Amino acid sequence: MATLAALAVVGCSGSPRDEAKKALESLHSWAVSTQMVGERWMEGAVPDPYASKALQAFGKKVRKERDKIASGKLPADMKRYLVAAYDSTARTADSLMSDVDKGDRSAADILKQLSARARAADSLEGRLGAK
Amino acid sequence: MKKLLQLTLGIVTSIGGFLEVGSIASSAQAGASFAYQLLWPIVLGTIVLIFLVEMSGRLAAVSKLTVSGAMRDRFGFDYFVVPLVTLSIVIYLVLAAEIGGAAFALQLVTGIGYRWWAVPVALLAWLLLWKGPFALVEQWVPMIGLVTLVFIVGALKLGPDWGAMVHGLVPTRPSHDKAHYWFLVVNILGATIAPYLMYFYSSGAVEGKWDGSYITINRFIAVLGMSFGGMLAAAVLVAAAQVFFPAGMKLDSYDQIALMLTGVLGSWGFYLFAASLFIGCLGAILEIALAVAYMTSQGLGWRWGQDEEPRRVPRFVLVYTALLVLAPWLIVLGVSPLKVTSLSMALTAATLPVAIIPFIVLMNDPVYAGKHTNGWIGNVVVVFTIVMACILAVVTIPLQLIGGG
Amino acid sequence: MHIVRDLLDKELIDVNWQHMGRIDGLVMEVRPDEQPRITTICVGGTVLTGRLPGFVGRWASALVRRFGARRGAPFRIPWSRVMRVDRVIRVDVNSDESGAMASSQWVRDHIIEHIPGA
Repeated sequence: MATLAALAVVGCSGSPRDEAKKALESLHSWAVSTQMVGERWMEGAVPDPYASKALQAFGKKVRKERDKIASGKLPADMKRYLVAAYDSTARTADSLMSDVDKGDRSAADILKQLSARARAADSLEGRLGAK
Repeated sequence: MKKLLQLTLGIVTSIGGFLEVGSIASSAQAGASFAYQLLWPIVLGTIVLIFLVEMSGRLAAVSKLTVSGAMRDRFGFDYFVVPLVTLSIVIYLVLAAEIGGAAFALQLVTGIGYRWWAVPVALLAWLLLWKGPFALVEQWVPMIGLVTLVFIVGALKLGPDWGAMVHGLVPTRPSHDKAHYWFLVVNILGATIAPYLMYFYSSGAVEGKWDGSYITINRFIAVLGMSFGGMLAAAVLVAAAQVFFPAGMKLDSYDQIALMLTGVLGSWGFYLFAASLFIGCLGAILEIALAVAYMTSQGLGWRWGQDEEPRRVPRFVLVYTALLVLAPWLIVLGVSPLKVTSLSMALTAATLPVAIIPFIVLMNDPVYAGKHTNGWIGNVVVVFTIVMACILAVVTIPLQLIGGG
Repeated sequence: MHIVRDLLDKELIDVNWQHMGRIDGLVMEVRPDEQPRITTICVGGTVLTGRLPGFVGRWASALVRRFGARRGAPFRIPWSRVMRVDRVIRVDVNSDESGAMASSQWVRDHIIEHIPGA
């Protein structure tokens, strides 16, 4: 709820709103990418070395963007929400990567989390866009 | 029939224009961010390239001169040195990008980091040039390059929205991310209309000893070859539009692009994508290294020829050798291949005017084009391209800064 | 004949029909009451780099003088050796044995020959 309030505030001014929107879009994109690599890996469509390497790279990029947001000018509430969301996406990529390395293909629940995260980012983004 | 076999020259030229790392990356990014909306720059680039390649071949067939040779002949050293220097600087980045692309393809398959592959890739390219005749580049690259047809198979199997595709052929204003939209337009055009293609193609025609009897066949080769490449670039965009756009994925790394065909073709999709990226980039590396060696040698009056023994054409060999020795290090140092790619495409666009302006003069001068000077359609296209190239040159750097991220 | 348009920068073919460079510069003789005439064709060396403007030209010429196989001295062909002027210019010179190909030969002997498989 606090997030929505923050968004409403952000909605009035120009630039932070764009920044928040960009951050959400990017979060969504990374969450979906991680999910897609995980799914394809479980289907056996992509080899282990690729999946492991890609997830590692995604985790790294997500953390880099999180650091940028953390040091950015967004309102504190918004920032806290985004940083937490980015963190959890990065952790998901990490744990998927360790599943890949172990050859453990039972990680379906992680993928569900990811798609929930992507949807949440989506709906926030939608509200932001509608303002 | 023997003449028709020269179609392979058109196809290999076309791979360098449409299927190297820059085109694959910018088409995929365009499809992911704007669905079918950016098909028009691919079509525009293809049409322009057909005309320019046809003119390069016609010039070579009539005058037995390559584009670079004719530039020095007609405009003198004082002008020639400008495209020579700008191309040499830009090409270093383009070559690094292509090496990065081929190295990344190997990373996809092996899991070993791309930085380790940069030097082996450059070495392989050099060996092929050192040991192989021109026919190796001209015939084997297109043959193996047929693997890239997988993009068309994938795009069709995904069930494209034909109506939206037709709409994408007409330029429209973007509804969102205007800077990124125009950035991609410039990148697509810069990746497609690369000056080195013209230097390579005309040199290939001279190496193939073309004469006046090739005028008609040259026209076929230009149209078929470039359309082949244009169709493949469009297929990459269409596939990306169906896979990445609905998912809301923005493409920031080759790891994401590699997923393009995995949904519809499974592991075949993955490995054929890697193979296409590898062969496209390797073809482009050979083509670029040769193009620079051709251009330097022809302009400065050195002996040249890929079919000659290396000791007969030492300085020609030295140019491509030095280039391939220098190019991989940017990638070895760990500079992101996708970043190098998009910077190199933007810079290519910035240097287009100096490369294209000579065409309008050369192709209307009977000394060079004989009785096959340009008709009015050809001239209209060249003038249009020059105007477009000048606009691109001006906007490319600012767009790189605001729309690239 | 138009000197700049028809001669300068054109390709040179030697007596054995081999490429031997381009006309990088021309030496002319001007005498009172006479038409100016071309006496010498120059190939390579500082003649070419000297055509570049300002400091770029000076800098490039210094490089050629320091590292060039002929130390910046152009190869000179007397006008009397010109056999035919067309879109290419054929001259009565054996390029491989006259020193015209010095830098090409240097690259061959010092670099190319040392690459394995040459």
